[in-house]
Amino acid sequence: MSHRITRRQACCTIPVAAAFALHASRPAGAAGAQLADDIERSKKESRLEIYSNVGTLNWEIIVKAFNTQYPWIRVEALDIGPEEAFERYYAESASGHHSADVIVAASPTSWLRFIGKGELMPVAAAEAAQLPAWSKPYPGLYTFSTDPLILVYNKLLLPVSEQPHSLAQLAQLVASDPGRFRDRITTYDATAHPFALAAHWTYAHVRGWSLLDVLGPATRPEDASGSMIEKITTGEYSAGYFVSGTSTFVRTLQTARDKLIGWSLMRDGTLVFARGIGIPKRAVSTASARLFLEFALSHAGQIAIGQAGLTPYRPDVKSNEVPYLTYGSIAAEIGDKNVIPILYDRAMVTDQNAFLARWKKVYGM
Amino acid sequence: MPRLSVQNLSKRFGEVRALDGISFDVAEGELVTLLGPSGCGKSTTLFAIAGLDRPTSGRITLDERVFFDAERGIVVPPEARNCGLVFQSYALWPHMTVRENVTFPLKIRGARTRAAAVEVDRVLELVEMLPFADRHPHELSGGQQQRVALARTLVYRPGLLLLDEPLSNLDAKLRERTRGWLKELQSRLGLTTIFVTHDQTEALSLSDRIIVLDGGRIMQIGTPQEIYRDPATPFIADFIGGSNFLTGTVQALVDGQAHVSLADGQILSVAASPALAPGQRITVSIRPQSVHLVSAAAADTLASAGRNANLLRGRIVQREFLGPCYQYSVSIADRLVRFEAAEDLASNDATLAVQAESCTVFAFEVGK
Amino acid sequence: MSATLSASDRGSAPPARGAARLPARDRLIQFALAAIVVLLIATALVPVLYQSVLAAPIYDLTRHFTLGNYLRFAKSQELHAAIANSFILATVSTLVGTAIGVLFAVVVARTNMPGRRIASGAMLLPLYVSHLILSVGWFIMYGPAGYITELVRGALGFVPWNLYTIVGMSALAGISSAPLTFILCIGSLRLLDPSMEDAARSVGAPPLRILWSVTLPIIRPALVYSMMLNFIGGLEMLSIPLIFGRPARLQFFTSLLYSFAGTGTVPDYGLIGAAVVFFLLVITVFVIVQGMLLRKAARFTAIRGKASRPKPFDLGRWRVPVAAAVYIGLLFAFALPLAGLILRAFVEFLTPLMSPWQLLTWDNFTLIFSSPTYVRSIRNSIVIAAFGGAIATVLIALVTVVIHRSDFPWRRQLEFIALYPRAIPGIIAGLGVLWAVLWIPFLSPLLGTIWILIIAFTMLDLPVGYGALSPVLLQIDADLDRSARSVGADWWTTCRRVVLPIAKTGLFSAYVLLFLAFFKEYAAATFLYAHGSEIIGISMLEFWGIGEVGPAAALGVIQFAVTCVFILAAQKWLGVKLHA
Repeated sequence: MSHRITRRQACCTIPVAAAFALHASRPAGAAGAQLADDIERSKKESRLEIYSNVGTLNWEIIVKAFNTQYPWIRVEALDIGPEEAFERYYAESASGHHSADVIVAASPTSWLRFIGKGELMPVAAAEAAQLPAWSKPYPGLYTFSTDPLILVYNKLLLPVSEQPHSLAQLAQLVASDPGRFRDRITTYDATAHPFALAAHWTYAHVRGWSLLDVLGPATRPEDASGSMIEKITTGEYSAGYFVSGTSTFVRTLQTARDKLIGWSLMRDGTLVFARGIGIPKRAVSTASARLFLEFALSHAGQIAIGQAGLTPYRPDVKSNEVPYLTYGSIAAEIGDKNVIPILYDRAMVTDQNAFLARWKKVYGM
Repeated sequence: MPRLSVQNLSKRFGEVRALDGISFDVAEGELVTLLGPSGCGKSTTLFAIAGLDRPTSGRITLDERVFFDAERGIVVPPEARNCGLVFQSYALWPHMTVRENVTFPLKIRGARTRAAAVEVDRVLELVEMLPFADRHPHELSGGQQQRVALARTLVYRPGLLLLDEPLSNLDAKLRERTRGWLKELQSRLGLTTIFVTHDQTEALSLSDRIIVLDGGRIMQIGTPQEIYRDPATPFIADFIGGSNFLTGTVQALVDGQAHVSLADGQILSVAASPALAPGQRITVSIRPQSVHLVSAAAADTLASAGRNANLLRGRIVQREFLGPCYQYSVSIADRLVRFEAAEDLASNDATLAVQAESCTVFAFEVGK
Repeated sequence: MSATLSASDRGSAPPARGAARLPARDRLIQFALAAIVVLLIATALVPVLYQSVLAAPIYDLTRHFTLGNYLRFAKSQELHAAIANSFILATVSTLVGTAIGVLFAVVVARTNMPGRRIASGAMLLPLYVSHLILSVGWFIMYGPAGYITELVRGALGFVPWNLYTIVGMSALAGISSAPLTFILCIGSLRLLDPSMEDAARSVGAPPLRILWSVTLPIIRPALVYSMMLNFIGGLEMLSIPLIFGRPARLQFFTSLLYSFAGTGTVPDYGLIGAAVVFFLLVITVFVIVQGMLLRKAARFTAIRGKASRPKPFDLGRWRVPVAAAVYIGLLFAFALPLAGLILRAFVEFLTPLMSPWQLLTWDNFTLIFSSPTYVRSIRNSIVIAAFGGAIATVLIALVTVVIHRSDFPWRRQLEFIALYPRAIPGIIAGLGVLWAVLWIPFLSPLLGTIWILIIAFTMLDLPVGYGALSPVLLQIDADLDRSARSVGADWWTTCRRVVLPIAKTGLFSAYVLLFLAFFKEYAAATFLYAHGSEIIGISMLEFWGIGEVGPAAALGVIQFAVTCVFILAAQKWLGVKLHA
């Protein structure tokens, strides 16, 4: 992975090391005692299992940073999709297996169900004091990163004048030449998994259906951002919307691909996912889990998360400390009112069937 | 005008000659047998005529049609020759019933269903297999399968009927009955037929003419009687009808007879011929049926009587009881003479009588 | 044991039955083996059956009986559509694959087309390569932005095929099943008595007519059998539905199950159980029908006459066109997709919009080899294939010996059971085994280990091993066994000392085939793998799922390379040749 780190990232590692030096000193008080206790107990634990819908490629950077602070903890981070992460946990913990110790997933409905079943451990994280209230919706549920869903387009198929920077622009482009764009635009399939559902539901709820109605007939939905990006690169699609920024950023480091694809935030409204992180009640390596949670919410952890291609949101992380975006930089670029957060809304669950019925009609499925 | 004409057929694999200059004709309605031991080239010749085997040189014509001409590069494919070939294994198609097997050649020739059915029934009746028309081959006995195979060739009235050892898979009794039936059918229908076999009894009883083959070459062509009475070589003499062989040297020519002295000094008289001269080494062939056992007393009486009877003394080496008679092997002049006699001889010595006219003379051949 | 034997043999009487040794040992061993086979298969099937009548997931202790799952299955449009699509795919692909396979078999076995051996080898290679690799290769070459697709679009202005339709997918599935038909028919064609065809020629039938009326009907048992295997193969196919079905908005039963393993809404275990039971029932009906069709095959054993060499049919002036058609077909069907896969592994991405030479890179391979996860998946695949294949070979050898060389009273039934896994799609077997492990407490330590994969694969590939060993054992003269028994060896000793050693070449063949079968499995692992027990196919699908086609192709290349090396090694050191 080393070749993927740009100069910008290299500059960042020095401040990160300094940051580690700062935070390596133990905080005082009750939090400090808890930390010491966790460190001692974690040394006796076998390994830390993380179930997530974050890519393995992304995890390698984060885990490496974590291990710099806690080298004795063996981390197994799995990318198994938003729903499966929870399902596996339910099945395995019921039969007494060492299942997830930490879950990191962008899937509001799954978290709601998880909490409803009483499976979330109400951990009080010390770092949480530094974080905004909206990122801590329930006791024990925090935010790992705030990942934007963006526009991605093929630079050879769409000349500069046609490259979209807002959803309205893309809709206008499609409407101007339906024949050219039929089945050449892509997005998430809302019926495929909760992540996709949450994205479309939130957008329709907040901004309405007008743009989606125009784009729907031309769009061929996909399951995963990676597929969307790959097919935009090969030219199977001309552009995609609601594409995961996380997946896009790491790929643009491939210099050749940079010639072919470009990306943009949606100036008229960008969806931003709060990727949840929590510790399940039946976790086995609880001390290691708590250490990881604290790390993920800390300044150093948020920077590692940023280096891995996700978007940190901790207010004291500056945009020049990470190679891509931060929550703050997104807000600065498109304006606060154009940031559309995807939150934990119960209506997403209750409204699901009706919403999907309409969505399928719009998208011709 | 012969029907089938085979001229100078040869087939070579490298140094091996499977066929070496085979030439013969078959007349209309004739049954000609290709006879010989295994590997002699008889089946190869048959398949060459059928078109399933390609010779390296020669010419085959049927009436005016040229089936094969190596020089002019003419090769007519088998499906266009309209020959009827009955395989040794019968080759009935296992997935078709008897009726379907026999109908198939007519379907290929575009016959209409009703007309074809009439023909098929007629032919099945001919071979006495109509009651079995809806059976599958694996439900039939060997003899029944063979008749169906024959029907399958007769149904389209071929110009030439070719039979590849059709009786060899049948048991002895069935073979005899089928032999007679086959001959009767063939002469009634007047089909020009070539029959391949290694069994001399079949050849002798069925054929109008026999062609004896050995080592890819024709040894002799003739009627069964000619072949039996006047074999051209000791091999044929032995192969057809069986033979005993004695060797000796011509001593003298007296009164139209040649006196031959055998290895042990005994004298054998045979009919003289211009080819014989004193001092010549010859092989004498004597059919077992021409050898008679005589008692000591009768031997003396005969000795003074007729000049045509040869008396030879020998030692009995083996005797086997066959039921109706005994089979003896008698050692004479370092050779074994085999024959059958009704008497059960007590002693170890025997005296044999042979007529001079029953002896056939060949030039001396090593091994005979 | 042997001391006892010789002591009692010193007298003139042979050892009395039951005297001086364990009379039950033979039966015990036979029962144990039969029990293992039954257990293996039950492990996959029983949980599925049980779950189909439970109202909650099988591991949930609040479960209770219900028939409601079946009622809901009867009303589920989504499941009906998926199952219907699977059957359409299977049917069309069987027809396509059988036609292609038979034509190839006839051309290779019965004509004098030049280069038959090469064509035969090339046709067999896809049997030893996983479908996933082929499907990715087809996508790269013939997909909507595929290389060949773009070339044709440039030349003709349009593209005459669309792989994102059920017709396109069925054609691909048919092409991938043609090699199986090929290998089954070729064996049959080579044994065909040539006088059957000679007789047809002599009564005047032209060559094509002979093919249609005589040759094909006689090899009908092989045809029917291969059609059934291809049909089941079409039903269980996972790679083509996953790679092409999604954009085609076509859901198939296997891809539906797969989505249930990954993402999707709250899974309904009971409903899925009912659907799977239904699916398996339909397949079982097909298997039984096929068995009945073949029972009347007695009439196809023809008595051979003179031993004659089968004469190849002379194509004459059609030699070159037929050869061209064959080679071009193989090129487009298999060679180009594999080449595309290899190319894709060495470039950052592949697009007709840019020349690949600018994009060459080792990145995909370094990604794989620098990540312990993926290195482990390669290692796991090899270990499972080598080690698991060996275990499976031993088990199958013993089971085959029980079926063919013993007087075990339930031999025929054991054979049916040992062959039944043909009818179980891989992903369903994986699901069943997962549910077994979740349900039965003492099995749970196996979850997430490679042992559970070895168990599942062994069960699935029993028929492969049996198919390799059975003919070898049948050829060994039974008198060899009998003579061993007559000098005092019991059944078990006879098997160990006489039968199995003689069948050594068969054992090697079985091992090679089992290694290859285990190595290319992936569908059965879908539900059974965990972090640490991934295999190459699963990692490939993961990469594909997130759109990382480069690393997926790289893994495919690695898998293909290992397969080729193994086949060559097997030929050299075990003397096992894989050809028709």
